[in-house]
Amino acid sequence: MPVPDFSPGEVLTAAAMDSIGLWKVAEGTLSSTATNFAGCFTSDYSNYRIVVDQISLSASGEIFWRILTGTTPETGNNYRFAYLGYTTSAATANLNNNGTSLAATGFSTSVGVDGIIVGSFTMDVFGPAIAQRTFVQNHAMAFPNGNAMRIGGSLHNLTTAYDGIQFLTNTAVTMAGNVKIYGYRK
Amino acid sequence: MKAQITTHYADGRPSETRDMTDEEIALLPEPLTTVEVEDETPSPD
Repeated sequence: MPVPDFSPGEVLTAAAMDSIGLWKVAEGTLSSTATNFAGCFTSDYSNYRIVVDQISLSASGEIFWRILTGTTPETGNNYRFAYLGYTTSAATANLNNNGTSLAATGFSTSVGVDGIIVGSFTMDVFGPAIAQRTFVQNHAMAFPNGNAMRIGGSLHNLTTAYDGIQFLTNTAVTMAGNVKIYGYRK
Repeated sequence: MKAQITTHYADGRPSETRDMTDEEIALLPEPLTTVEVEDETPSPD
């Protein structure tokens, strides 16, 4: 497919616009203890990229995700995840679970860092709005009181279509950050 | 203060924030792990 011509003054054709690979479908801030992005997954796209940056937490904690129908999260023990983690002090920070009520994003901090930006993560979400298992690949980098990196993946094990995602953290912890959700053109 | 939940709608409806119900709070996770590294608290420089 040719590269579209985005020169100044050129008319953007439908063909050019249709060749754009990523299209922003939702955005908002991480806030409170849980944040829903409702209606962001549709049949228009199969797969999505989620970029979360400028994260801070009010105290030690992790950020997790759940899949949504409307604003209702799926809370059955149908999530699985496995992450390799490592820190600059050579400590391992691996995570895994084989059937729980939420999935990790790999992002965590170990000290209270209210108001200080401590990291970012990205997620590729595969087929959330398709009646199949939802798979996630993601990578998180945090600066809690040193540097901690995790890379890995998670899945929701039901072959059901969903239309949104919830990010949540631990009891008594609140989140801040920016979230942008993009659809990959089919 | 009760834990709260915020919802952003992809269809353009205004975002909403409300108190979480007791049932929702009961489903919040406990920390999975603690990442122990050297004491090097970041500063907003």
